[in-house]
Amino acid sequence: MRVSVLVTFPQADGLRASAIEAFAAGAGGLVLEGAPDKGGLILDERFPALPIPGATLAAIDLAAANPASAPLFVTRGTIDVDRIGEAEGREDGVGIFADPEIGAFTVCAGSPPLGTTVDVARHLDVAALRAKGLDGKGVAVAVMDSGINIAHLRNRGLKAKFRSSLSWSPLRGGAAPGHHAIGHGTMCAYDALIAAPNATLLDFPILTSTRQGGNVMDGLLSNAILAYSYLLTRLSAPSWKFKGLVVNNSWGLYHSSWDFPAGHPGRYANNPNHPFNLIVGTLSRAGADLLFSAGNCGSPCPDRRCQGVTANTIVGANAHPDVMTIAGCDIHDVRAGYSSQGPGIAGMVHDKPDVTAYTHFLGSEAFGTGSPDSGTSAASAVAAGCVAAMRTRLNSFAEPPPGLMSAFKAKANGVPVPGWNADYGCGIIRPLAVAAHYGL
Amino acid sequence: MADSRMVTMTVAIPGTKPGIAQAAKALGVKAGAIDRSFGVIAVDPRRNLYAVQVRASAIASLPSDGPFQGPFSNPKIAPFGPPVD
Repeated sequence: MRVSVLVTFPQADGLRASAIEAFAAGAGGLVLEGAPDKGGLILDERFPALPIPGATLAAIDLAAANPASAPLFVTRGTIDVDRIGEAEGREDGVGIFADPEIGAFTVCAGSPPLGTTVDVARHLDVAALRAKGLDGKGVAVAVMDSGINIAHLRNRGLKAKFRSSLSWSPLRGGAAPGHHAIGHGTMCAYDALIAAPNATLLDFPILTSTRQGGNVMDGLLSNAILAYSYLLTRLSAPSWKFKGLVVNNSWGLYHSSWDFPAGHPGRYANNPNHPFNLIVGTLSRAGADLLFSAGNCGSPCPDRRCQGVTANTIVGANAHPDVMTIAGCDIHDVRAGYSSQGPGIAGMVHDKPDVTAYTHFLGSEAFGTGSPDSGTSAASAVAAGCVAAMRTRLNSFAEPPPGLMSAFKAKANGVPVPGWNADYGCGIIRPLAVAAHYGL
Repeated sequence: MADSRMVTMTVAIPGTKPGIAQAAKALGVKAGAIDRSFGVIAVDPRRNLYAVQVRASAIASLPSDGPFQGPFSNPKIAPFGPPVD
C-alpha cells in the first residue's frame, strides 16, 4: 500500500529553482535530477520544494528561511508503506516523514464552544443588516420552548424587548411570562436576537410538563396545539400591531417510539393530517414564518436519545412543507456532528433540512458559564433572527412565508455544492444576500 | 375499568367557533367526555376542522364513518439542545 510522505532533502540546485518559482507565484512544480527511488519513493512533481531553515529546532536560522539560503527543502511524494525503511537512514541526508490526512474538527455533545456571538454576528453580516435598518424592530418572535428568563438576557447587555400580554401561561401557578428558569428557552431567545436585536420576544413555554413534579423540559404535542391556537387568535385580532411574526420551534421527537407505531392512521411523524401538522399550515397561511430545528440525530454523533437511529429522523412538523427546517454548523461552516441529516421522513417533505445556521458557540451561557449554545436548537433560533431581520422591512403581505423561505433557500451559500444535500440543505444561511434579493 | 385516558380527535363542524356541546354532538359522545381545559381548537378553518381531547372510553364504540378522525398520537416532545452523548 502506498502512503503519502513528506521528504526532506539537503539543498540542491533543482530544489532551489523549484522553491524560487513557487514563491514567485509561478506555475510551481518539481523537477529533481537524480531523485532517489529507494522504497519505491515517487516524488509528486506538482508539489514544489519548500525551504526549511534548519534540520532541527536548535538549528533553525530564520535568516535562512528563503529559497536562496535554506539548508534543507521539503517535498511530497508517495512510498510503499512496507518499504519505508529502505528509504530511511541514508547517508545522503534524505528524511522521510508522515503526511497524514487532516479533517475538520466536528463538534459533538460535550465539545467546547467554537467561537462566540461576535463570530456568528460577523458571519451573518449583522452590521450590514443593521445599516439597512434590518434589525427586527416591530417584529414579534415567538419562542415556543421551555420559557424565557428576560432578566438573564438583559444582564448580558441585550435590549430584549418583551411583550408579556401576548405571551402564554399554560400552568396555573407556573412562572409568569419572561420569568422562567434560565435554560433552553432563554438560550433560543438570546440566539434569535443576534440578527434581530430589536425584535420583540413572545414567551410560549410549551416544553413545561403538566404533570405534578414533571421535568421542566418535558412537553406534550398537545401543548403546542394549544399554543399555536392562542397565537393564531392573537395574530388575527385587530389589536395585533406587529409587522411580522416569526415562530421558533427548537424541539421535536427524538425517536419513533415516542409516537404511535408505523402504519397507525393517528401517527404524527409522517401524517400531514395530524392536528398539529394541520395547525402548522394554518398559522403559516395566516402569515407567520415558522422555523423548526432539524434535530440532533445526525451522524457521526447523535444524541443518546436517538437510540442510535440516524436515518429518517426529521419527522412531523420538523419536515412540514410550510416550515423552514434548520440544520446546524459551527462558525467554520462545518456541519455539527449531531445535526440531523435528510431526507425528511416519507410522507412529509423529502428535501429537509432547508438551510443551515450557526450553533455550538459561546453565547447566552444559559447552561452555565462557558457552556455553548448548541444543538440544532441554537441554529434554528439564529435563523429565526435572520427571518425577523428581513421582516423589519418586508411584511408577509408583500412576501408571504413560502416566498421568503424560498428566497432563504435560493440565497444560501450552497455548500458543499450548489443545490440541496442531506447535510446542509441548500447551504448556510446568508441573510444579507436575501436582503439584496428583495432590494432592502 | 373504563379507560380514562384522553385522546386527541379531529372533528369537522360547520359554522364558526363551535363549543364543547357542538363538538360532543358531532363526535357522538357526551359533553362531559371532552376535556374543557383543552377546548375546541380550530386546526384547519378551511375545512372546518377542530381538535378536541376526549376520554378514550367514550370513543371506543364510535362508528367509523362519522365527521371525525382519530385517535391521534400526543407524543412527548423535547428540546433539540444541548445534545447529550
